[in-house]
Amino acid sequence: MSLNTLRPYLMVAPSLIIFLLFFIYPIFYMIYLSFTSWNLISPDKTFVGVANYVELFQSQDFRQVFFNTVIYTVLTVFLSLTVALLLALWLNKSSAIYGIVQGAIFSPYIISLVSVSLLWMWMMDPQYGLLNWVLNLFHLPPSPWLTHTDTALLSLVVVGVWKIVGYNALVFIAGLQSIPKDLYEAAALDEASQWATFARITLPMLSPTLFFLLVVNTIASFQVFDTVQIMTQGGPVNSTNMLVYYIYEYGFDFFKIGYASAAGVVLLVIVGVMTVFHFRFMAKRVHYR
Amino acid sequence: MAAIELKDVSKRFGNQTVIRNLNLWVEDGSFTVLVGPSGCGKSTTLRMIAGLEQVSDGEIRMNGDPINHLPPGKRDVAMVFQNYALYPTMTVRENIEFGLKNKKVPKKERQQLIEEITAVVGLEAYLDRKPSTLSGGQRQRVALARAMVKKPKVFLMDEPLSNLDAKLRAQMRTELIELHKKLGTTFIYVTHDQVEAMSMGDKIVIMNEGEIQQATEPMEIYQQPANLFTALFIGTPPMNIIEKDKIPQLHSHNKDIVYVGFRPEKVVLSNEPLEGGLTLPAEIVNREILGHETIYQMEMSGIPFKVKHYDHPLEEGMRLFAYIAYKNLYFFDREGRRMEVEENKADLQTVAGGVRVCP
Amino acid sequence: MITVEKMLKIVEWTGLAVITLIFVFPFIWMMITALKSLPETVVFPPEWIPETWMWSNFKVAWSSGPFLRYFFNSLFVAVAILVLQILTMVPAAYAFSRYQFPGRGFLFGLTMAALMIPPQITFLPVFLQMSEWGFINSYIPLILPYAASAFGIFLLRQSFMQVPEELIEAARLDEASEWRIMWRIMVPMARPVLVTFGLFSFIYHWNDYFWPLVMTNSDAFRTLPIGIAMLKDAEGGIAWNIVMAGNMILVIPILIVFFVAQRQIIRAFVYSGVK
Repeated sequence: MSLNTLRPYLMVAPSLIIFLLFFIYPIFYMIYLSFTSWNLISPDKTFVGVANYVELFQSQDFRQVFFNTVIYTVLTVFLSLTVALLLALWLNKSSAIYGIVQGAIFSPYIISLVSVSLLWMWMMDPQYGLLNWVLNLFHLPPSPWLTHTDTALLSLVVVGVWKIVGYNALVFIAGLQSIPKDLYEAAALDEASQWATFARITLPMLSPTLFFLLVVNTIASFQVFDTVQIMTQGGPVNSTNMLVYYIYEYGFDFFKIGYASAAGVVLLVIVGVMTVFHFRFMAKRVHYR
Repeated sequence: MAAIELKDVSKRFGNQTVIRNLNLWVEDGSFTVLVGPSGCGKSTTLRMIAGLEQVSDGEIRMNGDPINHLPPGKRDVAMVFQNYALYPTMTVRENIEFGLKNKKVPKKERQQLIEEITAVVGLEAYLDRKPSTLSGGQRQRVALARAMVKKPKVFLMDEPLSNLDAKLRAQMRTELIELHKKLGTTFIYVTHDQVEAMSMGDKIVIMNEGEIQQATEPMEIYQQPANLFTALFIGTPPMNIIEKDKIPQLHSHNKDIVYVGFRPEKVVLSNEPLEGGLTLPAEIVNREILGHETIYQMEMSGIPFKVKHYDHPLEEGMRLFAYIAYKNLYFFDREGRRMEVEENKADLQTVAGGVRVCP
Repeated sequence: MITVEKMLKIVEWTGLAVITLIFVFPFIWMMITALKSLPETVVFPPEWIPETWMWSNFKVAWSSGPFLRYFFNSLFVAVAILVLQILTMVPAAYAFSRYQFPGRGFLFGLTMAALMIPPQITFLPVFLQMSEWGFINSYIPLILPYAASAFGIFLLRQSFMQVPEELIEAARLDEASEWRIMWRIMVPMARPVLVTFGLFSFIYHWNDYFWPLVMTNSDAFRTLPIGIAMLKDAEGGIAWNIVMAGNMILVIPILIVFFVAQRQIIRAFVYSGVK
């Protein structure tokens, strides 16, 4: 083979070797591990068939973890998208002050989740925290925040929403700005009400953006880890334990590699389905354009 | 300096053949223009000479040596693109210098060459500017300078003037002709514009559907078109072509003649039939006054043809005789090939004016 | 006279102020806390202004662990990743955008698959692989898996496809090698995209907690986020003033970058996500 034939392969090789080694192969390795029993220390990986999956689906803990993850995801995604849309409609103006506010709401997104977690942990301190002071200001009873099973998961949702809502709002604004102005002019000439304009023009034109954010947010929320690990370690009594943290725990604290891998495969399937969904939609969108 | 020869060159994209068995000899030092309608294969031919496209069959030679296998950079050719293709992130100087650097020309020599070339094209003041800040004409000059600085054996130009406005185009045309004279290098120039082709080339290659229709000097193309395509392609308005059977005034024994052609500017309009040529009674149905010339749309018993005149405009609706001298008539066979009937012009007789015939 | 219009203006401005406060005040609160003394952090209602500004908190935080090492590791890892990513993605994007070769679609599909697989799924098997190879406790597991970026290839390929073919042809006629075309013609033209990607990559890896947490177990290779998070595990309860001081060390570089290049950063994260 001449250099010219080989050249493109040589050019993509470094990247593809990385992808194969650290993204593609691990998936298969994990699937293999999920059918074994292994404690990380012993040299043997025993083949146990679907035993890990059986244990997983029978586990009360896992059921709760799964449930927590779904609740967390649904709440975070719903709240962050709704609030973001409202913010976007409000802040989609060109004057400087709106630019500053846009920058402000976006800033949490580029800050490390470590900082965000520590900061909110401090603000949510049940005794000395700023948030209880604010509640007090409005004559509301103080909240136990992260320390109680009723409120801990919701507290993580608050942090998740605070972190991502600015990003969502700015994506919405980008979407709003891509709607042709003449559509609004036409609507105005047709004497459409503000609500009708929103429902018939803005929302449909924004639907690709909305769908994009929905998928991206859902996938991201499903993989929540940092806040859990730093703020609650899954507690109190497992009320904030979620999938990735669960896998992490079983892998690195309990050394049940096979079991953790089986949970990993479950996460893989969920993320995979959402991704396929996303891609099919994107393909459609490209097709219609 | 180099002569270029294409021998039985074909080019296929997938199963579509765009060039079919093309044979072309480009004289050393000539200004050869490839002209034809879009899709005729002229650009592909140029790009094959440049090495930007590989030939599917056949051979390209430079000064007798095959160059098929050489990559573009090694062929000693330079090309000026339609959109100039200036490197937008480089200054004018860097644009011109890029090829020299790739050739590992020493710095001193590079500087000297750049100075020399920019003086020729008048770009001294713009050396440190980016192409985006230059006007169309200036960009064109940078593209030329970039090509010239390499001192190539052949200049290839792919519609280099088509992005300029009419006035600038005319000016650049003259400049290119002068440049060719000064450099004495082989120029191969692609255009779809017949006026550009006629005014610039010392050899014109007319192409259609991947085949050469005619390749010769401009005047010869005008006077001796090889076929209907060439006859119709060169000249504005194009040559009038009429089926022979529709001209009862024209009699000939030559059964192969199917079409008769004559150029609009070779027609004499008169009030009376004239001798020694073809005389067609016709009416002016329309006219287009362009100032220095007038184009008449004429009709002879339902057959339209055009006449171009430089005299004072005549009125619409006038009935006249259109006279074409025999020497200005062209004859074509069924396939559209022009027939040489010079020697038997005598065979031809008109029946114009209800008159008569030969042996 | 206060007109309805004026009222609305006032309401809107108040609203804007509240929104801004919700997102910005936590950072201010972080700063205030970082300058408090320990007793000042345990009073309710909270004190707004520290009595004496405890700049020494930063020193305490910084010296409570090998923070210089963490800081260096963070910087080194983020920069090394970015450099390697650029080196691998430029040729890959060029090949995917400009060459026809058998298997191109499949290989690009693999790249897109890698784009879709998050580290939260692969961390366990990758960790096991790395420890099998004996790479844990080195920079390798921190850097190598990120040495190529599917996202970067995707972005850059889009940008390379915009470059007119004529430019590349002109360069080939100028006897430029493919390597030179790539770095001298294509890369300069894709500069905005590369800047965008660079900001994205750097910020992501500077902030990253999950991956280094999984892949390191010695101070020698831990990064700043790990070190900061460990501040709260101090013996004898959390000293929030010290934790927030440490937090500032992590946040301030990013906030400075954000103030300097707000536009590019927002574009990097928002628009590259949309397009």
